[in-house]
Amino acid sequence: MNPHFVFNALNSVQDLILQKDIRNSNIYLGKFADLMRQTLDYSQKNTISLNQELDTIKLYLELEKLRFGEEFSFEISSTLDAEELQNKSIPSLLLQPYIENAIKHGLLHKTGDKKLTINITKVNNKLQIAILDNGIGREQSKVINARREQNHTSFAMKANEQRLKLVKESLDIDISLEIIDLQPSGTKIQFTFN
Amino acid sequence: MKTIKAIIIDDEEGARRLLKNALEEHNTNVEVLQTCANVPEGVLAINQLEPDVVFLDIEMPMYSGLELLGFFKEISFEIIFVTAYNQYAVQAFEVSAIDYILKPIRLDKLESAIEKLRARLAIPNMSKKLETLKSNMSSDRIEKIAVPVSDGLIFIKVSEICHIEADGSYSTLSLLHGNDILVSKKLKYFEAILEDNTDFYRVHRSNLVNIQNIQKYNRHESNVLMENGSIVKVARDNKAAFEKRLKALHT
Repeated sequence: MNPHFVFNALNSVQDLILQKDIRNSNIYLGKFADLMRQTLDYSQKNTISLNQELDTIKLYLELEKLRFGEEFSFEISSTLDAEELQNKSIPSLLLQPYIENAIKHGLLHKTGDKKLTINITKVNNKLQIAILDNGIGREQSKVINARREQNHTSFAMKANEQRLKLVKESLDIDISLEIIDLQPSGTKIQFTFN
Repeated sequence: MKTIKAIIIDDEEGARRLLKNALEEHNTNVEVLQTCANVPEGVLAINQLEPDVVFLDIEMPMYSGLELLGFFKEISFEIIFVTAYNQYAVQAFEVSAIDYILKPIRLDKLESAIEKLRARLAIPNMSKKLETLKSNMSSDRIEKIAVPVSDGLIFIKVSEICHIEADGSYSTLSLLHGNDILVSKKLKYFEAILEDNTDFYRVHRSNLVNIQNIQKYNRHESNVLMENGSIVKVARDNKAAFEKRLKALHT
């Protein structure tokens, strides 16, 4: 989790406080606390249930929504039933860095509606998780990063790649990752659990 | 107390409102003339309204706050960064910001930044420049420097610099990796920024070298071979002092 997110989320809560919106200040402070608690807890674990992962992601996205306002929306949909979501275990906090990436590099730079979609399906009895954003896409993002920083190396993406490798070696969970450029703009990240 | 005219540039509506509320509720005597959601909007507002100070977020869509200065030939306003990180803090000083405020905003920190700003606005232009240099020097060791180029700023790791060569009112940065960078700043400028960095040594009137990136010192030829293959002359008059400096590396 990017420290930038943590402080921006707190800043959004501070905005509610200064607006004297006590009810929402409490709600979002609670969400923030839950997110921190879960993140600290799950980061000690190798795997958690898909259900737990999605709950965490939901909190994270709700806080991002508070920050970005009306223009930002998200949707999490699943064709799996409640039992399947409960029983399926996945590497803990697998999705968050990819979602953060989609927001930071794709959606942040986009004007107008910013949408993030998470689709969970089963294809040939294999679990598939897709993260879609309607942001500016990889090509444009590269241009911005190149201009801003001369030697931009995508640290997060490298760390993510290594994680998938480690997960395969140590947990024997084989996850393949596909990145697809969307039309007219946006990016899709698709995990397949082999 | 004179009213300070301010502009806020932040992409998040909540963050803009928060800062405006904080400034107003705290009787800081700061008037927010306009709030802007991105750098280009901010540039327009600054040109139009001529504020005393710009409260500037760093991480924003398209243009980061650090790129704002690239839009101006002359800076007639002060900058206070308002940001969620502190990794840019040193760079913030590098682009002559008075202060930076971390999010979430602590009101005492905001007040002290405004006090600093008041003090700064009271002194005339020339002495301001000197103060900027001073704050550069007293800040922690700089790891990256911001270099103005035609279309913005680029950030260069100090450890990547082999040597900086003067060329009239320009300087050429010769790097460990990648192409040379021509900058319209005098060598003196870099010398001032890097003054508290003991790795940099002025071997010649026209060259500042990074001692960490020297491959070989040739006494007879009176030059140094840098890690990137370039050769830099060492002035005869400087040889003794330079050798003394090199020796200090081994002890």
